[in-house]
Amino acid sequence: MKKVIIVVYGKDKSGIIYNITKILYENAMNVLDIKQTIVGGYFNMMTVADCSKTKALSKVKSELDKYSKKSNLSINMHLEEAFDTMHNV
Amino acid sequence: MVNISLEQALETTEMFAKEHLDVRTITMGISLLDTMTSDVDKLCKKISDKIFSYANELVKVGNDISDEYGIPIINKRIAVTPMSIITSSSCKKDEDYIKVAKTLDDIAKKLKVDFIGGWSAIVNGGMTDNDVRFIKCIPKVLSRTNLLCSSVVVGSTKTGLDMDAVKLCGNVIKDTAYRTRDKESIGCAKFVVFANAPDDNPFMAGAFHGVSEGEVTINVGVSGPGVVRKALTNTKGQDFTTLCETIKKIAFKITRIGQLVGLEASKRLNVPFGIIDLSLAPTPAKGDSISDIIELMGIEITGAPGTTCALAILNDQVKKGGIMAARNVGGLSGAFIPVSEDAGMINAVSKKALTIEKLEAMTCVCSVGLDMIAIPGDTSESSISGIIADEMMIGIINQKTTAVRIIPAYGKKVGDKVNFGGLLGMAPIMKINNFDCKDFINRGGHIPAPIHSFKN
Repeated sequence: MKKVIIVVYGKDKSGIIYNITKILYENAMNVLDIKQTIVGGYFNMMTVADCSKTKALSKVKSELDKYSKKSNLSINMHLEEAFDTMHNV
Repeated sequence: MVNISLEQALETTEMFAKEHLDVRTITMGISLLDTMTSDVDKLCKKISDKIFSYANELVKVGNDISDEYGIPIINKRIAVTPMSIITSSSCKKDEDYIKVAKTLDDIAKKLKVDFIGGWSAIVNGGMTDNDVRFIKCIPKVLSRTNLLCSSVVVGSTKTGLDMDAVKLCGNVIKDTAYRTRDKESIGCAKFVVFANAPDDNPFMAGAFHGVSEGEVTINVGVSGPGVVRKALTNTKGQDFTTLCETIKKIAFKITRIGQLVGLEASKRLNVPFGIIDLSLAPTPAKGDSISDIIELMGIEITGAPGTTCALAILNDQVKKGGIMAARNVGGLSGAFIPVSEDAGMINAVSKKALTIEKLEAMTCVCSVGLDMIAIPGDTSESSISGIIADEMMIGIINQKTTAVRIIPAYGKKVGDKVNFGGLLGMAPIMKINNFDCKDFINRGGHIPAPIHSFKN
């Protein structure tokens, strides 16, 4: 299974999870896990999604970038291996 | 399930987004040995066919990996077999060399790579007649190309130092500065003189695909001074063991990213993966500085007493942390200390805390040598050769790679600045010692290899 991890942080507001999962859903991704916390009004989230059926990750990336700019949130998407190789031996 | 915590995920994304962690370069090394022929036009055609056949997808693959993994990959580059060898039977006059050089430059442009390296001569044992012609033509080549990088290897621990080549390189640097005077003497930023040059270095200006290498390889240079700096902000006042452990751990993480990118590029391009160069290469961006790391260790400003020790710690711990993270390590591996490419170094020079003599001492423990240093335009050829000879001997005696990439900026004097833009940055003109060494350099000949015992 090919997985991406989407990491989001920034000032909390309503609709963040809705808007991000909507983009994922529209690009044939299935959310596998969400870890989320709010510290001092700041929203932190990591979403793991199956992207095996997604045709173009670059399209997802540009849609996330668009929402990132609109919502003033930092949103980064990486294939899972980028995290796995860094943190697990 | 994914075995990553939210904290780890945030740490990684911050490294990329805020601390300038990147893969500095994916460099494809291509052997051109089988393109050699006695006809210049045929040579150009064969070189072009061969490079296109391997590197056609290099930039696309680099960009795809960068997008999918969310890892910035700054440069895509090509390194070829030292061209003094490849051109040896076909090029007899300057026009021939320029034709071949322009072919390489055009290939780089068409492939949209950032640089192509390998306009190089390996003359540490002595120069052939072809080598002399080739080296003398380097200024013309650098002034008529944009993406081509050049290097000359003048010494090694095994062979000693070729002082005829050192003398010639002083002339090459001055002439290159003059011929590119309308662009702040930028040609000199694309020329480096080496001792003990590695065959698999992915970094410019010194990258070439050594004759000991295979047909084609992918080598990766990682970067990340900003990430080391961030990790060290939490170690203030703690002892050296903690300091060393912190650098080691972060170097491991940085290198793992390089390993991942290298393997993936190798797979997609169907080219064997060569080495990871475990380097901390600064950029002019704020915070992406080797000098800042030295200062965070407790040195008021780079150049103050303690600087060489701090740099040695950094260089050694980066290697220790990176070695375990990579399958195969090579290249220059360590901390680079270019002046113009590092905002902290520029600041230290501007405040007169950092002199060229202190930089020379630092090169005994850094990964390469005197790098991107701008000096007055009226510096004599023999003084430049003297600076090269000093730096080469540090490498030869201490069995390490050393290099000189120095810019005698035409028409500039101490107090002026040169601005190259981009990764090459900006450099204040540094004062050098102007006492004469002409009679020493003019002796010519070869300095024998040093003794390998009695290390005192």
